[in-house]
Amino acid sequence: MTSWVRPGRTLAVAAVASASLVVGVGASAAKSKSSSNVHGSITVDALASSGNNLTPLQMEANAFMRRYKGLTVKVEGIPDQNYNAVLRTQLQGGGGPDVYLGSAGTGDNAAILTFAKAHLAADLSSQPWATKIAPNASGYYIGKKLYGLPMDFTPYGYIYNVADFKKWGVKPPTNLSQALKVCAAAKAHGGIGFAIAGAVPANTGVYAMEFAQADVYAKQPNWDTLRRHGKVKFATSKGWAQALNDFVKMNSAGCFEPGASGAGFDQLTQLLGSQQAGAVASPTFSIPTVESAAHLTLNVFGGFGSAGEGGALGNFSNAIAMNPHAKNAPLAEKFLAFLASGEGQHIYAAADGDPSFNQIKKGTIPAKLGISGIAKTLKQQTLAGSISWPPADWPNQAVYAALGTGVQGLMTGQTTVSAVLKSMDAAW
Amino acid sequence: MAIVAGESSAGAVQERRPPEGGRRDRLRLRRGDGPRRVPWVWILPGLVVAVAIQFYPVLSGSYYAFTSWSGIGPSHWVGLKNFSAIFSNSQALGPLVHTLELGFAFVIIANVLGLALAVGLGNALRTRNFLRALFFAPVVLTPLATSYIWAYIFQYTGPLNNVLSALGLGSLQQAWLGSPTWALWTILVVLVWQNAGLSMVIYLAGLQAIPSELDEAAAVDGASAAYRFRRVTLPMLMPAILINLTLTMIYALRVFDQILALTNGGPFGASDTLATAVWKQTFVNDNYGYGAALALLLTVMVLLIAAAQWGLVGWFNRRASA
Repeated sequence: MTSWVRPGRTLAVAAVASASLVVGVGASAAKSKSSSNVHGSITVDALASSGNNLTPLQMEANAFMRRYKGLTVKVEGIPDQNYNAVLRTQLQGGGGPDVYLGSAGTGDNAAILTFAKAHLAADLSSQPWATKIAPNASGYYIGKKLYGLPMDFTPYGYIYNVADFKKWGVKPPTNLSQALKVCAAAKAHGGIGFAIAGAVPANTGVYAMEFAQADVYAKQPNWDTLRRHGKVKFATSKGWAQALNDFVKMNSAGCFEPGASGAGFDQLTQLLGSQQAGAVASPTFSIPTVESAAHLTLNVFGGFGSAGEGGALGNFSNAIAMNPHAKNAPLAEKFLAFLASGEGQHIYAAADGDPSFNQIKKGTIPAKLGISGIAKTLKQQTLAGSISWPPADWPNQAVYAALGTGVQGLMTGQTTVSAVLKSMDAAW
Repeated sequence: MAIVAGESSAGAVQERRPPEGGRRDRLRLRRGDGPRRVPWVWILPGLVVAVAIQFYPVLSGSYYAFTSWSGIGPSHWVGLKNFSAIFSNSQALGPLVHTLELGFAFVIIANVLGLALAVGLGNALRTRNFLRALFFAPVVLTPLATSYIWAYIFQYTGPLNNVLSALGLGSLQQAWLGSPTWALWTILVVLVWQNAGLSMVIYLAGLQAIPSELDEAAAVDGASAAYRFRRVTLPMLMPAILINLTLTMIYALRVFDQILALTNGGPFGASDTLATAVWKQTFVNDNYGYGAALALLLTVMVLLIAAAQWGLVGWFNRRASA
């Protein structure tokens, strides 16, 4: 089964750092010198592989050990569903790995800034590579102290089947009314405009965020900052109400598959792979896998709402942090330096199905990633510093969970837009 | 080995003396000297392990029910705030209501079905062993794995809806797992399917322990089959009923795997139970304090219901023997 959950972090727990704020990582290669005080081994907590492929951090560890003979990096693979709880328990218990995979920001229960506040993530400001991370990169700093190393960049958007859209005579929509026409055209051809995993709050949340990007963040990029200072609220935000109402309109128009409220990720793959569904809102890292499994050509378009285009969403979701109580700090720091090098960044991005920051900035995103539809937008937003994945900056994971389950309730008519927004405020 | 009064194999009359561990030892036990301590020494290692890995974690975990702990960093005492939040919020009460609905429905259906299977697959049936094995087979399967198979069956495009459509019952097709009305009851179907076999086996054991002479005597006296079942079989089955009721109720109250695999508590909490709510609040929302309060509530509920069941059965037994 194709995974719609990224091999690095989960859909729901992605974190953010404004891409333009992270500069130059990967520009220089790691030095091959091995200082005399660096020896022994370290442990690294990472997600376990769901298949036979090596995880990105295991590939990094292998490359590191090939380069530095005699040094050992043991990667402990933890299943995705247990990862956050296991990591938190290990760190809280005073032990834990020397280095671990977390996510940027605070909106996740493996978020590095949450760990940093509890003194469970080391201050990395003095590392040689730290100067390449801009000092205002949100999701990685508290004040002037840096607590993580950003890895690959995860774009979000609507993944669509190019052949289906051509057959239905439609183009990627740029506003809600065009999207409704896509749904109508799909129906006329016996297809489904959009597939949604309605039983998975992580996926329903992505749909809501795509609308919020158009209806809220495109107009007011600092909305989350205002919410943090208590100057705005979800419940009183016209933009947020509009975003969820846009979703309700799509649902009422029959844009989603029959029985969508009970569908999981496996149905998404089945519907998109069998060319029944035209598009799916999702992170884009799964495109190469779906394309090769189903022999399709996929591409991506950005979010839309009543107000028009929303652009792209995206973030540096995978953050590597160091345990302040690392048993072998010198080797942990050396491994981090390797990850920050051009070689380390390239290995991670290639293994994770996501573009690197440099590829976005230079407009050299590999065609096999299948995101040419938003490459230009990504580059513009990245250079303008206006790209983000807002849930990562939210204070906890409960806010995004309230959004995801709330959208479920909207699909089944169990709740109202107003109630969902109030529950998000309560979770904040 | 004690020598009991009587003749030895050689025919010699042996001295009559009490068996070892007999009256003299019992007197010593009552006085509380040496041998009385021996059982305590034997159970001490087990007791220490039970306290260390079972009772201590439960009790220390209960402390967090009165805090606002987020899972990392220090915890702050909030008194009964978590409990008042549970009982003052109608949405938070949902899992409690669903737990009770699922629990009582499961106990009734699993036991009635289990008893019916045990009676129906009695000794007169030639294929009884095959059928018993067939009905017991789901018990030994992994709940999580079987739940994923059931999730496929209940999919909108899955076999169940296809069968309904083929039978001309297309109007009954549902998004079974995504329906606020049906989600909880699809979980019940899976629970009953998987556990009715266990109830059946316990009832079979209970039925086989009932002397057939009692039933035969009642029949000779002219009692009807229904009367015999009600006045002879059921009272004699009471130990098996007690065990089954307790086991099924505890199982239903703590069910987790099946819900997670089938509905994840959705849609919009329509199938959330206390067990899944504990998990979500604790490990998804980082509300460890609130999650611990829910867990404590679940524990108390299990204890109360189990005690009530034992009390009820005890009362029934006393009434029957009176």
